[in-house]
Amino acid sequence: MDEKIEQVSVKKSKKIVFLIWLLPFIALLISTSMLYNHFEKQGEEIEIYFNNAEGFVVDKTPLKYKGIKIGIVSNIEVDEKNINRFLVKVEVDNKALSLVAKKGTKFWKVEPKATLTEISGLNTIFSGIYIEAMPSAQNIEEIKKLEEQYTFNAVSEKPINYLQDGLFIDLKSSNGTLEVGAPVLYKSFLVGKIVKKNLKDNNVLYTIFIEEEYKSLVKEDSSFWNVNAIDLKASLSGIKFKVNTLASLIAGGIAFDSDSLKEPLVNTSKVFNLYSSKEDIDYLPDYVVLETDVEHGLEKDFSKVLYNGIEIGYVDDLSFVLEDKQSFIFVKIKKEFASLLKSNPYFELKKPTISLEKLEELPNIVKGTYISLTKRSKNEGEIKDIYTLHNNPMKREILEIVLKSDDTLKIEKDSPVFFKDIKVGRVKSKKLHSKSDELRVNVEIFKEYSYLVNSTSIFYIQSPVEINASLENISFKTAPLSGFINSSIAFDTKDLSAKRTINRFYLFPSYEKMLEQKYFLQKGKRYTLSLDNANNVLKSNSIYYKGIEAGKVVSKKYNEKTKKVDAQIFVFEKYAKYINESTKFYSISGFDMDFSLEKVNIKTQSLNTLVKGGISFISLDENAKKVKSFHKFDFYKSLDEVLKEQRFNENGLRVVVLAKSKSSLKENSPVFYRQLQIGVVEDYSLAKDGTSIELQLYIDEKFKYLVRKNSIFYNATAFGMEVSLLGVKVTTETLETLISGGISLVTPTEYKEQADSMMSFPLYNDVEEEWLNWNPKFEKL
Amino acid sequence: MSYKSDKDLGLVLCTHCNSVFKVEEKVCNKCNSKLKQRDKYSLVKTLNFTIIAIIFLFPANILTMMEVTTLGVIEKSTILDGIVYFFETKSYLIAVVIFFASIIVPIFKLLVLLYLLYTTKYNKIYLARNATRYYRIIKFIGKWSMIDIFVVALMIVMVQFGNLSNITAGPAAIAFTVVVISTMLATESFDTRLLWDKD
Repeated sequence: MDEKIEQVSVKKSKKIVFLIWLLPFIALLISTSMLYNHFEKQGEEIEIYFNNAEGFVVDKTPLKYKGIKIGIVSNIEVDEKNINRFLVKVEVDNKALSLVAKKGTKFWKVEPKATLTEISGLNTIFSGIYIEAMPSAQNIEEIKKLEEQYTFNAVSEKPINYLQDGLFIDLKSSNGTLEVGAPVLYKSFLVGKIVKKNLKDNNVLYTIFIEEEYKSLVKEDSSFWNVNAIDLKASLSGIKFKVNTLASLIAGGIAFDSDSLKEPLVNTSKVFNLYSSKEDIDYLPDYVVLETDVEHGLEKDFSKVLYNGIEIGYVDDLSFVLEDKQSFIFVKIKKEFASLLKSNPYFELKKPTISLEKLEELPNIVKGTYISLTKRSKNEGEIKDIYTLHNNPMKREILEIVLKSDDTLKIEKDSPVFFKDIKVGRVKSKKLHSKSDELRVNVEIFKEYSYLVNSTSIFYIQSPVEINASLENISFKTAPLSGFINSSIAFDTKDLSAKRTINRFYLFPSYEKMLEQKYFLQKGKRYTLSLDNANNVLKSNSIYYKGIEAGKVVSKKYNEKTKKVDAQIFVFEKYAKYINESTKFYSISGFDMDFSLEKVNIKTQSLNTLVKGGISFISLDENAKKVKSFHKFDFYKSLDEVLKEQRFNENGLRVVVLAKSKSSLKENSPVFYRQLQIGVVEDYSLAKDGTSIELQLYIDEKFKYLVRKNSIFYNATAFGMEVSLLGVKVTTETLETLISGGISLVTPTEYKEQADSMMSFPLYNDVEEEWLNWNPKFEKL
Repeated sequence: MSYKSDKDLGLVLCTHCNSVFKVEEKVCNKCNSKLKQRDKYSLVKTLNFTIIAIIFLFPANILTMMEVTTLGVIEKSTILDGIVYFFETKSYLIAVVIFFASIIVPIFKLLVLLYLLYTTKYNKIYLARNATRYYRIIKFIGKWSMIDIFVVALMIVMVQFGNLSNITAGPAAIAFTVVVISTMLATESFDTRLLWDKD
């Protein structure tokens, strides 16, 4: 038993010993494999020269390839030869060594970078900066063939990976406003970006990268333009505002467009033109050069070239040759208008002048100085190298006429000439006649409108607004807008079929004057009125005949001989026939207020004459002798006066009364009989002996039988006032006479024969009661 | 030496219940455990475990103990890196503790083990008392030598913030564990009675 047990245990023990000795070998194996793994990963060192080793930390800063760590900085030293350079030793993982330690591999430092177009390396803010490697070939096979290299110079910034799938295109631009990283857009869709920007032969050369999938969008004839983030176009016609992508908002971008039918680009080395805006594509690539020696005031980029008011180009550049005082203007013309250059174009410099005449060209004024292009020939000609920029308008076929005026005129050179509001000519010059103060205006009427001018043409100055206001109506007549600051000339031709025999015309200073002229050109006759005082008579007052306008006052003049004012009037032929020696002219000015204590009688003429006044005439005897033109007529203040005169000069009776004092009597004071007016005081004067006042009375024909040789005249003004204990008794004829005065006539019941003409009567101041009781009963004789 | 061991008297001691039996007895009739006068393979086992410990001592110190990933940056540190780190950051106490637990203690244990093997093998009885004292020391500190692994394990559990901060144990941790375990096994498998046998 015992032996058995011992044997068993011995057997067991041998196994244990064997196993125990096995363990160290296993341990050794494991340990060495662990160590081997570790050291195998260690790899080799490469050397990279950096100009700036800021942020590198030994044993921390990694070397990465597309984000994967393939090594670590193991040592940093200052370059012995150049203390501005650092030698950075990088321990590259063994496996990556064959990828990286090859000729042409580029190394650069990745650090946080924020530019307008990109924020990159943000991860390095936390992870720390690192070194990135990019092999010079795209696939492993090619890399393997490359020579080995262990010392490199780092590049300053991320190199373009030309090995990337996609398209690299060079664009040529005259300015470098775009930044690397700015987007490349196709129909506002991001298809690539700017990867490089450098200056070459005075041009900025951009390299753009189009991603593989959009490569085919670029065609042979693609046009590239600079996208401005904010496209603001403001003109008088409106404001156009366009914002492109947000990225381009900051740094701009490049957009392109191509003819989709064309074949994709084959020759990738072609350098495309980068236009500064989409609009620029529409312009001819070559400049049109204009030469001038005048001060032009054109502005680069802003001054326009217009053709018939259409913008066809702009001034892109200016240069000035000091010696010759010659300016060269480089103009860009739109492609579609290129043919204009062949038609012998006339370039004219147009400067905005602040004159209302130019107001109709208001948009052009806002545009500033511009160049106007006019076609001179219809045939296609050759395009010249340099065109002349003229300062004067192109000569047109014209009709020259002279307008005379003695007024000051607010017209300038170039003021337009209108015919029915259509510009048919312009003022060429304005000057004084050499011998008089007469103004001579030379006017050019464009050939095509010359038929409008003939002997019946009337020229006048058109003021901006003509307000013709009368009480009947108010009418406005406005000149075209351009007439607002400087007046323009307008004309009217009465008879277009008439012939032009004269070249000189009178220029009326206003529309009204012209109308007046037209008025007086009608058939009629002129007469002269002699006025004491021309207060109520205005030039242009109308002459009425039975309330109908029959003429006008032409002028007023003071006549030194007669010490009166001579007013010349014009009466239409139609009404002139009613004028004869018996014709009386009288004023119908304003209103005629007949104010008496009995009544207030207001007589007014038409409202028109109420304000303006007027002259009317009446012919008392149709059969009277005709008068010649320019016959002098007297002028009466009113119709009443005419009628009175009429009456007084007829067959009435004239008597004289002798008064002690004039009292309130005066000319035209009434003479009453039974408080009925029968006559007037015609005149008064002091008696030659000075004892009394002689009042000449006129008694109307109808009433002259009332005046008898024993008639008594008394002053009706005077009144008796009896003061008694009972009160005050006032006796007077009428209230009217109390104020205006008058003479009353009484004739005794037993009357005598009629009074003789110019018979004298005494004038009593008081009335005797007895007289009032007289009641003669006349038998008509 | 004027002492007599169980071997000299032909007796066997039950190491579990301290009962003494005749050398012929194979099983303790008191506690039913196997009786052995001496472990024949004690020295072999100790030697082997010592060798294993020595082998693994190299990767444990050369390889990465701990990988600290902070925001994507991996920072590998060996045991020595850790000590240097704590020393540099002036955490001298921690530095000393780790230095002792991770470097001094394992090496001391291995040296002691080799010393024990030497004294036993070549029967240096006069060194037995001294050797026993050392043995007691290494047996006592044996259970504390895992402190390093414990720290690493604790760190791994506590610092797990994904990409922000992350700690993982490196291969050195395994090696170091092997070192600690094999020294403990070596210590355990050493039969101290052999020190005193006067052959």
